[in-house]
Amino acid sequence: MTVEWIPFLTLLGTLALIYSLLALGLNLHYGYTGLLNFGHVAFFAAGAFASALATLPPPGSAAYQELGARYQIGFGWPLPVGMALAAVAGGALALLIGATSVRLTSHYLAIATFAMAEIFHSFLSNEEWLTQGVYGISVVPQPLKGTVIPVSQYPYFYLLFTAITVFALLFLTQRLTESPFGRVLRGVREDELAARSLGKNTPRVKLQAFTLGGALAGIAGSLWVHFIGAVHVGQFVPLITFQVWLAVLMGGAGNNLGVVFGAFILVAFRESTRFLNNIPLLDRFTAANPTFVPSLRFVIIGLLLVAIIRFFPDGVLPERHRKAIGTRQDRRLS
Amino acid sequence: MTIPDGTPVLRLDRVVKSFGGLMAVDHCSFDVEAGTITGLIGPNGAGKTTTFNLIAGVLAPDDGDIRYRGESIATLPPDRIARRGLVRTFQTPRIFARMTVWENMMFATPEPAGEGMLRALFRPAWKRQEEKTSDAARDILTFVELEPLANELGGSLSGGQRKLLELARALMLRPQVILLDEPTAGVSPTMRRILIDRILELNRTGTTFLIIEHDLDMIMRICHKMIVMHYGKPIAEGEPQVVRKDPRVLEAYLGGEVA
Repeated sequence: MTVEWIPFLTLLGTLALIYSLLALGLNLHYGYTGLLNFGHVAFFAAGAFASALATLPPPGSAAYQELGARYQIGFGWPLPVGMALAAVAGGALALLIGATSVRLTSHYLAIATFAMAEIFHSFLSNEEWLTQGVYGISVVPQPLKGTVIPVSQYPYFYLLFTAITVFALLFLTQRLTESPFGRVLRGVREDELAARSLGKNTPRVKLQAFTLGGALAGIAGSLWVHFIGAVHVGQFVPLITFQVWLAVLMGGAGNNLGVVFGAFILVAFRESTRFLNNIPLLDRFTAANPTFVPSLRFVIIGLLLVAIIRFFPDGVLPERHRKAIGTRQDRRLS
Repeated sequence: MTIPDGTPVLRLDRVVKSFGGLMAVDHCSFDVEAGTITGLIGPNGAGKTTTFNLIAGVLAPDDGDIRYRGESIATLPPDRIARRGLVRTFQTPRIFARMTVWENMMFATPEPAGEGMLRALFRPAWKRQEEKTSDAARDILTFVELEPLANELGGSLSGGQRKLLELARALMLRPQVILLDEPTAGVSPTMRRILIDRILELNRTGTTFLIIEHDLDMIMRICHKMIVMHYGKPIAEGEPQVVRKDPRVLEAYLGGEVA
């Protein structure tokens, strides 16, 4: 089997960028604010469904007939509206979950968010009028595909579109975290009681961070769903949450560029282990045991995590330390 | 409005706090007069730190009232109490370990510029304020002799330096009253001298202190008034020389049988 490198790298790049956005959201939660969020996939799912439903042609329309679809909700709005709604959906879900649980400390919050994400997953599975349940919706619009952009060129266009979106959001996130607001977040992470005793309204700040991170994950859901062109609840398993955690920890919690880098390492490893079948000696095992390679992929990803934690305990790009800005004299000279 | 020295800036009125069956603070009443250094002493378990937590708003009293500058603060959360100028430190310093000393200081600024989500995105909206805050931070760091460590991580400081940083950080809020929980415990003699000098100097310029301390010699030397707590309430208060000879105090410290 030969590998078609360009399409493969395009796929890899798009996925890595989407995971980068998820990681930026989780980094706001954990890396900056110290919130142990183990339900990140829920915000991703909320954004994915919001964007899909916003952009699907309305039931009854000509386009709907043409697709032969069965879904019950669709608004036929343009993609930017879908993305905005995805951010709102991710953020609103985070606000809802956060309002009830963000006052919990560390591992209690971890359990609560994990449980909330599972509840949300069951909600999506069962509310078939909204999500088509386990069948999902396989006709999610891919804007401009086949009309303005030729189908064969679409992956490259979408990679570019994703890259622009993600880097714009990376820029904004960086702006935010390198401001006094970001400093308040990091203080809450270091010691919430101390932060509160120094006059900061920490429950409010935590909720803000939680909502913003949820909104970023929602936008990632939008990018994902129009990339795949289909949406169903089975895509949103807890494993995604843990992979995003992996990206954050490998890249460097508290460093926005770091977690983007972490997402790229994660996706590169995860996707390239698909080629294990091509390794000469391994194929003998795989012939007799079809589950061998899929299992080995997880082993390799696990080893990667162990190696990174061993050699880069703070991630490949650790959080950098903010030096004091210049003194009065320095400023006068410059 | 500044309250003239001698009038109570902080008043506890029959404050009660119990944990399960344990009455940690039992109808505790006392005043802290503006411009003074007041020592709060008592054997372990007397309820001193619980009293601090009640004043600072970390705990809410079950009963009674706490008044600061004439207004009740008993039900206010800690952040609002701090913003009103009543700031506390902790027995074990709670500094931000993975932030630099300078950032620890900057964090405590009472100016909200750039701390809101939207304004944070527009650097010009808060850059000037940030420079002013930084200058104030440097001045205070110089005052406690930590300025050379401005770019070190909080976590790399020694125990005594952490105590100093906590005091310095509290000063960023320009407090009227500072509650210090065992400021010199585990602090080297040199650092201790700096700390005490700075407390005395701040007091001369009008800052009121309420200090929990186990080093009786030290606290008696610096405080104007001492309050002795035992089983959740004051058993004696007054000038240090008087309080130290009070038989109830000796009994509380040395045990009933001995006295």
